[in-house]
Amino acid sequence: MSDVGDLVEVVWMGLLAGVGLSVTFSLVIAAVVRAGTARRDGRDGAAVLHSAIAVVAGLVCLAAVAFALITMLHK
Amino acid sequence: MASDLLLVLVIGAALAFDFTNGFHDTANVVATSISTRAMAPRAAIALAAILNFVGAFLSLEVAATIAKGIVDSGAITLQVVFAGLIGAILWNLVTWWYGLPSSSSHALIGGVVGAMLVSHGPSAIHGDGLLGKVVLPALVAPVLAFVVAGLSILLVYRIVGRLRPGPVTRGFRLGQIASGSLLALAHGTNDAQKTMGVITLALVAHGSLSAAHPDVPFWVVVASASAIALGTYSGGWRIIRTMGSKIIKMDAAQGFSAQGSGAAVILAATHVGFPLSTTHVISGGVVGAGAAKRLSAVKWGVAGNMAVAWILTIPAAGLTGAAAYGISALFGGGTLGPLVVCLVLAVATVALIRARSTPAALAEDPA
Repeated sequence: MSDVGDLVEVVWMGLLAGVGLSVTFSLVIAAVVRAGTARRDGRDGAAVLHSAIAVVAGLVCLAAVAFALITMLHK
Repeated sequence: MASDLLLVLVIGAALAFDFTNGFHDTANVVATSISTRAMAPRAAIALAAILNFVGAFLSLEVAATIAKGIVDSGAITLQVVFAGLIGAILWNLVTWWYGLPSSSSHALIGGVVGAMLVSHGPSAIHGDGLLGKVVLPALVAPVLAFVVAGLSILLVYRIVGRLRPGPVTRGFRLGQIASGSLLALAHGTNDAQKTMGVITLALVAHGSLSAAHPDVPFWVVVASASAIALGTYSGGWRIIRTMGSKIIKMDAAQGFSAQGSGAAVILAATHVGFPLSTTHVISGGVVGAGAAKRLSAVKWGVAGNMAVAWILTIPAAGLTGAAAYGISALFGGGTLGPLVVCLVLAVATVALIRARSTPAALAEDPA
């Protein structure tokens, strides 16, 4: 029954996308806040590391938004 | 070939449904943002209205049949569509009045199924389609959103829990604006197309469009986009209050988990080709984000009322659609029946308004 197959796919993709987006976006926030704190404390190495995490996680979020827009355009 | 007047009635009902769809579903997009003060209420609604309008132009690929795979498409007549729209509009208004979020798509399907049952009997309803395309997703959507939002908020609290709350709250508020914008775009794309499909079907039945190549006329796109945007801008405040503050009192992280993870679930499901109701997903997400923090934080009575409304949507819209078709059929298969239905609705509306505006003392004293 194809509906059941689709359903299973929706469940795992929904879990992955929903939890993944929330976690990735909170990583962006956490990394930005920690990078700011590290900069103020003069810990340049930590500031660079957290900034890099923020950039990577931010790019993942942007990619998710782009994927969402493509899905809307092509469904 | 349908008469000009019947065509006008169906187009009017379709645009009226589109309008109620907009103001009924505004809450899905803006309720959490308003509740966590990510945006001012009027600004949130204005942005949602603009993005619903834009979304309606993004894709026309599904502007086709309504209730496809659920009823016998070949048996759908304009009278059935009209009665189905009346059923959906009335159910949207009733649930709005009680501040209950419910699916406009399910209301439309329920209305059409009810009208089809009266017009062609049970053989015109595809039971497996109803189960697979409506009942199953309606069960899965809130549960999946509940679990996803619940898991999300637990992980989010672990990641940002020990950080200064000020910048964290600002960050999640920004995230809510982005996820709300995506939801508004997706809503405009999905829901305005239902109206476009109905109007296109009416134009084909009228003979104004070729049945072989029924391209959606541009004025239909503009009218549908405008109706859903105006509906969104008028704001279904009763439902916004329910979703934004009556189910849980949410912080910005919970608001983002409910809305952001909800948007991700909806778009992931759309990608798979198994569309889920935005209302069911966002409502389930709000309850999940509250329950994961503390079970007692959720007002389960309100959540229970919502669940009852979801269960009643198809039967209630179906009964109304069936009644509208029944009244319409009493006056023959032409334009007179739908006209009488409009007249009955107009008289009922005036009577309701007069009854509500009569002072209580006068109403109690028949003399």
